[in-house]
Order: sequence, then C-alpha cells, then structure tokens
Amino acid sequence: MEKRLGKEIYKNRYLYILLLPTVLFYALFQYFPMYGVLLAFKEYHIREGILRSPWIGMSNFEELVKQSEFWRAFRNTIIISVGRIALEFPAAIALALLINEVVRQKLKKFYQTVYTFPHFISWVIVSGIMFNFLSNDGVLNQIVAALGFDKQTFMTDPGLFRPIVFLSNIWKEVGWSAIIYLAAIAGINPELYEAARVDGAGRWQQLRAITWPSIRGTAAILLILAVGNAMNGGFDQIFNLYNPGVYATGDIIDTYVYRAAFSDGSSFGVTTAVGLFKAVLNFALLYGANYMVKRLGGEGLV
Amino acid sequence: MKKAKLLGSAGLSAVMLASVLAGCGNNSNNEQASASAPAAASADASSSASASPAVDADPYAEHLDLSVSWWGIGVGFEKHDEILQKLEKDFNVALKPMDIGWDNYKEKAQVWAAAGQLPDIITNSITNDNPATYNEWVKQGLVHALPDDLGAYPNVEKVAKAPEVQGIYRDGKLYAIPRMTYPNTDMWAVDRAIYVRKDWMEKLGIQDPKTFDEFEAMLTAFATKDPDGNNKQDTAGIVMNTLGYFKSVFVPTFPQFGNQSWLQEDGKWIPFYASKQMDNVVAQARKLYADGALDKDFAVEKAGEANQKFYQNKAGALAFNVDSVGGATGIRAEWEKNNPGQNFFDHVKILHLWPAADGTVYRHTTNSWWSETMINADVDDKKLDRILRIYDWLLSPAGKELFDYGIEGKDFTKSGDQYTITRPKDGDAFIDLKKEYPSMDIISQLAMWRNASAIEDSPINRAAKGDDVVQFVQDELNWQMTNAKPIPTAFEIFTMSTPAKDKLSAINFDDDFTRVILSKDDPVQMWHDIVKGYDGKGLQQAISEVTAEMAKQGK
Repeated sequence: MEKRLGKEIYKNRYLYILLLPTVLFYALFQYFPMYGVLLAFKEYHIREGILRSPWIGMSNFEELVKQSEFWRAFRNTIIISVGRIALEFPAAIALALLINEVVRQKLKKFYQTVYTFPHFISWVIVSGIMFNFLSNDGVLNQIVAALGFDKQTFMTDPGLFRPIVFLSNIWKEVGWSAIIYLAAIAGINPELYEAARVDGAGRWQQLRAITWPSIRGTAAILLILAVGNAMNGGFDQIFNLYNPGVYATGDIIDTYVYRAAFSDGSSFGVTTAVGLFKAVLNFALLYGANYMVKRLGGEGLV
Repeated sequence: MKKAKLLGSAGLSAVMLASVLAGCGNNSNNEQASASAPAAASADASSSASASPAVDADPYAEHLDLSVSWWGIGVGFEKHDEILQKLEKDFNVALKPMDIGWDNYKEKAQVWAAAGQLPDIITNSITNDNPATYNEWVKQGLVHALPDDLGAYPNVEKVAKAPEVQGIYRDGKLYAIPRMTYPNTDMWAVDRAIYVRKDWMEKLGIQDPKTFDEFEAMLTAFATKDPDGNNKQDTAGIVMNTLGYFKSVFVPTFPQFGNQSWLQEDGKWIPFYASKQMDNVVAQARKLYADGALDKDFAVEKAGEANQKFYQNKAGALAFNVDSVGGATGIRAEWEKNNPGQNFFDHVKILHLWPAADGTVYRHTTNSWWSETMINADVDDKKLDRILRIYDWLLSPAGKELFDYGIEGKDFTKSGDQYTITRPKDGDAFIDLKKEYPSMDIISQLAMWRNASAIEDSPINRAAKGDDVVQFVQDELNWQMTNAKPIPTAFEIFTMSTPAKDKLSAINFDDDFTRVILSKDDPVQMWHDIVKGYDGKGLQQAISEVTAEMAKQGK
C-alpha cells in the first residue's frame, strides 16, 4: 500500500507540483496565522508573544458579553449584512440583465465601463467625495436650501446612515459585481435565443426562460458566499464613513473591535475573542446557506 | 486508488504545512539570534574599546543607527537639511525616521509594540493620556528604564527630578522622558483661545458676551444674520481645530471640564464626566449645535480641517490656541492669504471667557508635560547612552540657541550677549527657520515642546514673527495672568494609577459627548444613561480607589 501510494504520487508528480503553490499559499497565509486565535483564551503579553502568554480560559468571552457596545455592534452587523444581501446582492444581477439588453455593442461596453470604474476608487477617496456632497455646505444641502427646505445633517443622522451605506456601496461596487453575471450570460448558447425568437418569445420571455435560468446557478453560489461573509459587514466602507453620531446604527463588529483594540487600549485578547466569535458565526451561516440552496434544488459549494 | 490519491495529497499537504511551520519556527529562532547579535557585537566593541583607551575617551566613536518616531517625521526629514546633518554629525548617528500621524499615533504604537517593531526612540502620549497603557508597557518590559544615576546628563536629570514627574516612576524607576510643555503650569493659559471676528460683531452690534446665553446668541447671529453680507446663509458660528480646544467654551459652566481632570464632589473624588455639572454642559453643547451656533460638520471633519472655514470667512469664531496665531502656516498668515490686503488684527480678536458661577474667570491649566519619549527595551547600553546624550543636548541652552537662532555663522553672529541675525528676509520678517530647515520643528521638540520659547517676548521672536504677533501673544498672556485664575486641578490624579482607574481608559468620552451633541434625544437623560454604562467599566470602583488613595495623601 505504502509503495503503491508513493508510486502513484510519483506518477502524478507534475500535478502535485502544480498543486504546490496553492497549498503553500493557503498553509502560509490562511492556516498558519490561525494560531493567533489562541489569544481569545489568553491574556496577551506583548513581550512574551502569543504562544507564551498565560491561559485565562473563557474570561475574555465573559467580559465581552457584558459590554453593551458589543451587542449594539452585533445587532448592527446583522442588520447591515441582511440589508446588503437584500439590496446590494440583487442590484448586481439587475444591472447585468439590463446591460445585457442593450443592443448596441459600443453602448454596452460604455455602460459597463462607467459602472465598473468606481470599484477602483478607494473608500478613503469616496468618503471625501461623499463629504463634499453631503456635508452642511455640500452640494446636496445647497440644493435643498435653494429649494427652500431646511438643511439636513446627512452624515451624522443615525437614521440615514444605513441607507447611505447601501447606496454608496451599490454605486461603487455594482458594476464590478455584475461582471461575473455578464460573463455567465455571455456563455449562453445563442441558439437558445434564436429558437425562442422563432417560437415567438418576446424579450421579457427570453429573459425569464433563458437568461435567468442560465445564471441562477452562479447567483446561488455567490449568494452562499455572500451569506458566509455576512458577519463582516464591510469594515473599509463603514470605517471611512462613520462618526460617533451614527454609532447607534452604524458601528459594526469590525469597527468596534478596531476601536477597542487600538484606540481605547482594550486588550487584544478580548478583541480576538470577538473575531473568533464572528468567524464561528460566519462558518455556521455559510453551512446554513449551502444547505438551503441544496434543499431548494440548486448546486451547493460542498 | 482514488482514496490513495486523496491520502497522498493530504499527506503531502501535511508535510508541507509542517515544514512551513518549522520554517517559521526557525525564523523566529534566527530573529532571536540576530536580536542578541548586536548585544554580542557591542560587547566585542566595548572589550576592544577598553583595550584602547583612546577610543574609550570618545563616547561618539562608534557610528550608531537610531530609529525615531514623530508626527510627520517622514516629510520633515526628507530634505536632510543642515540641522539634521549637524545633529547626526555631532553625535555620530544616523536617524531613521518612522512616521506617525496625529490621527493614529497611539494605534500605531500599539501595532508596532505587538509586532516587535517599536523604534529606538518612541514618541507617544500615554504617561498622562493613558496611564493604564503606560503601566502595561512597563510591566511587559517594552520600554527601557532610565539609569538610576542621570548625573552624566544633567538636563535630563532636571526633568526626571521635577516633583510632578515623580508620579510616573514605577517601582522607583522612570520609563519615560516627559516632554515638558512649559516651565510652569501657568503658561498653559495660552494653550486655549477663542478667536472671533470683531468686525462681524460690530456689524451685528454685538458686545463681548458676559454669559453663556449671550455667547450662544452671538454665535447664532453669526450663523443666521448673514454677517458677511452676501445674502446667503453660508456662515457657521464656531468651528474648532479639534474637540479639545472647543471644550474651553464650557469652562465657565464647569471649570474641570476644560482640562478633563478629577474633582471632589460630595466627599468623593470623581472624574469630570461623572459630575453633576455635566448636565449643564451637555445641555449647552446640544443647544449650540441645534441652533446652528456650532459647526454642523464638526463630527465628521478631520483635525484642522474646519480652520479653513474661519480663514475663508465662513465662520465667526475658531476654537484653537494663542500660540498658533504666528508662523508661516499660522492663523494670521492663513487668514490673510484668504483675505489679501487686509490686516488680520483689524478683523479678529481673542474672546475672553465670562466668569463662572463663583464669579471667577478661569483659565486653562494642566499637567506640566504632554506626551513623552520612551526608549525601546531592546536598546543596548551604548545606544541608551547616545540617546541620553542627544537629549541632554536638546534640553541644553546650546540646543535652545540653535533652535531659536539657527546655525551660527550662517543665520546669526554673536558677540557676547548680542545676537545679530544674518539670515535673509521675506517681506518684513526674516525667513522662517522652520521653512529653511524642515527638520527643525521635529528635532527642537523631541525632548521638550518649545511653546515657552515661541511665546516669549524676545528680540528673536520679534524679528522672526513680527512685533504685532509677539505683542498679541504677550497681551493675551498678561490679560490671563491679571484677570483669570487657573482651573482648580488635582494634578496628582492625572498620573495616578489604580487597577480600576486604569481600566477607565476603555471609556471614550469624546465619542460619547459627540454622540449626545448630535442626537435629538434629551441630552441630560442621554448623558445619565451613558454614565450608568460607565459603571459597567468600573467607574464606581475607580472612584472608591482614587478617593481612598487621595485620603491616604490627606486630600
């Protein structure tokens, strides 16, 4: 058995060599750093490092659940993530379908480029642009004032923060996210459409009967991944857009951890505990979504 | 067969993972080895040094690399100007800049500490801002204790022996060189100032406010009565450089709010935010915001960003400090840049605060230092000696001369006590040394803030900044000394360390205060709820501990 295995590996050595970089990458950058989660059960002493810091059991978690800010961040993370899946996720599909319906090739490319471009601007820049639009003397408020209404505090109003988050993220990412659907659509056999036209199907019917079923599988897989990512909530965006005025609706777990670990001098142990907590939930959600998709007759990830 | 393949790839992965882990393990061993290498090298060096006494006599014989962090040091050191060259040559060192920003320097220090990448000379502000972190750093051995005998560095010793510094000794050792701001706590008075457009006040017929309500009414008028006469509602009442400066507005309402100190109330020592007097502060702050008297964007603007509104005639008042009026990028220069042909002093004055409930006008005061230098624990004795020698010189009169006058023979000549400035002029004033030598601002302030130097009435300041600026600052200082009293402050509690008090650093007062100002709910009720939340972070325990400690000291 031993010998046969060795022989087998030797026979396929080139395949294994091809596999090597990926395995190395994951081992080095994904699995190896995982030993850091030990911190969740330790009191971190900087000089002693992660491995030699003393164990303290579950007390980091106990401290965590006592903090009202944590639960606020937890609630916000869930709400914002659900919002992203409900609003931002379908937006990309809708855009892909719409762009696909544009008949003139040049115009189609033009729209695709215009929608994709904002993806390459970092959130730091986008937040600066948004400040120019939404501040008290910003473009929007000048219009509001010119129309005779009272100026609004768009950036510091807790009620407006989430809509701003969703809208700005759709503006920035929708074109990029649509690419994968456009690719799936491009792969549909044109004969299907021709046949449908011969049968007298209109464009709406073609969309429903051909285009949508063809990209449904892609959508399902992306949905599973999005759900698995739900507890992340988009640190980059929120961190650049939020301020103390909107913590009530905008502070997510990641931003809370960031502030707690670095600004407020809280312990790395507690914040690692938060990270672990989040990862476990993400894992459960990923599995749940996968299960649901399979139950509904789709193809899951595993 | 399939199973065997799977096993094979799994086995292969496991082997690789193991080798990777082993590799990392080896790496860390190497690191340790290399970390101890300099020590070994210096041991060699010292043994060879003792072999040849000539080398021993010169403490600067060995060239050393010193890394140093400072706010914006990357830009300041980029030019490698003559001041920096002089320092490096005189002390035979190469200074390696490590940049920190005003918005994130504490975070950066924490990250560096966690990654083992702290610079040799660490700039931070934890001895007074965050004693818990200071204790943590000392406990974990991240920073070097200063030698017990500082006799070889008399100027450093003077700082270490200052009475107020004794509070940051831990087990009889000092782990930081506090960056002294002023020679005494009185001069802090000029670290707060509310600049106001006196031309706007005249135009709207407003007198100097005598109460908070009058102050509020003035700012609201700035925002709503079109003081610039352009028929647009485009002006704000007051803007702030940072929230800290703005807090002085509430000093008459609650003196200790101004310097965020502890006070005695109902027989207990409590932090300012737990005081009953906070009710008035939050109510007033909310009113300012709701009426448009306070800049609507204050919570989303970055440090210094809102100053532009004052310079560009979009705000009637600016909360900042007196000292910042002068200099090439000072308030006056920036304002005049935006208002060409007009004299700043004809349009702007400093608004003095009105008396508090007890009839006294209070002025700002706080601990005699802010921020500190710490030395990396990994620094060997040689480097430590060199750093302390540099600091001793930075604190010396010779250092002050260089920072006040520039390089002898180039920027000035001296005969006896008479200085003759020879550097070129830019308009009326001599060119700014800090512009000529971008590193000067950094090097001059490494060991102590030069605030006292900057505000003293000296020929050099008059020559460099102009008579009107120096007079403006002097007048303000004199006014404060004659008419105002320092905020009654329990200085010893700033650096006091007790287990529960240290944990209070998890409270982010500024965030909570900002939240109350921005909200639409009842501010006083909100504040009470927030303070109740602080109890969960050990507020009551901290109050008992500090009260007990103060009782021990007979206070």
